[in-house]
Amino acid sequence: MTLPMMILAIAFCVAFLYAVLRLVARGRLLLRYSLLWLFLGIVMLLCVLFPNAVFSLSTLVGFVTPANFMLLVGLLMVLAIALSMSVALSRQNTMIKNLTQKVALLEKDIEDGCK
Amino acid sequence: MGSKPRVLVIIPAYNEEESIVATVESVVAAGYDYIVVNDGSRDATLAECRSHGINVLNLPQNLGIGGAVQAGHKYALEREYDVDVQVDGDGQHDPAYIADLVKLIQNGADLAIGSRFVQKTDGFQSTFMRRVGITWLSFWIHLFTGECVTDPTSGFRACGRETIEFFCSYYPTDYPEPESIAMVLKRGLSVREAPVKMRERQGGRSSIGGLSTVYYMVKVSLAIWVACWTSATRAK
Repeated sequence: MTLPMMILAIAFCVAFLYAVLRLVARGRLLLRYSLLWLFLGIVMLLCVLFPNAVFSLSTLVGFVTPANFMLLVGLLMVLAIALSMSVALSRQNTMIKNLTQKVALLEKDIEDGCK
Repeated sequence: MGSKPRVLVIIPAYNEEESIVATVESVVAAGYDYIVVNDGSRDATLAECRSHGINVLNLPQNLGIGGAVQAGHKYALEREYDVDVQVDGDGQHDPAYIADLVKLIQNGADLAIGSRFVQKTDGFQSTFMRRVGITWLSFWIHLFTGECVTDPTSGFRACGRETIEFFCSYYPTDYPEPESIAMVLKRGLSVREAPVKMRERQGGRSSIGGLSTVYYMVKVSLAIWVACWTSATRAK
């Protein structure tokens, strides 16, 4: 890896981590949902800082091209994040459903109480 | 359960302004308590109910049939009914058969289903393609539970106290009927069927039809399989 490329990659990782942290700080992103993104950012940063470790690991697993190894790892992490978002979404779905039912039941109780 | 159980008829209604009043009147004429669950209808369903003094549970937004029926079960549980009977708001279900379903519950069934196919009746039998789908779901439920249910998609059903409690905690959100049968069976509760005749809907539109039929079959088949797989861990 050339030096300018490394500097660019490090800058990108730092900017990414900063962007995530800023979203958390401003309350736009909950910390619990930011953890996977922060983890992804740190892994990216480590890969840039220690490329040789990535190359050896890639060869060890059996990849001919380290870039393919990186793409696969990146894809798997994004996949994990996407799945965790579906889980969070489903949880909210259930919560909203229960709340909607509760609102209707309470409204009914109030109506009947007024009679 | 005493000799005369308290029965609540749950009438889920989504955009049923044309038929809801007639449906409610026929249930009232049959002498049952009822609750209409207005599932965030965008037409005048709610206004129709209010102007006719109909007992309505008004969901502030659309939840789909599963969420609406579950709200009805929660209402039944809160008001301590012994049996609740789901009757669709579109006039397909004849209240005359409610007594048969309630009788099955009194005789020990936990879930009683009004079936068009348990014996050959001359009522509305659905289209050929739908019957193929229903036969498939029947087979599928039999495969995973060993029980025969001839009309798993029927929305004309009665629940005993234990099933009401179960459905308040667990009820599928969309296309709930076949899946919930599988859940009930895996829970160790009993399911019985009574022959009913159904009419063609008097108003409104079916939630199933066209391209979504394929989606429906895949989704429900998968849901039954998953339900059989997960309920085993939560059985009593």
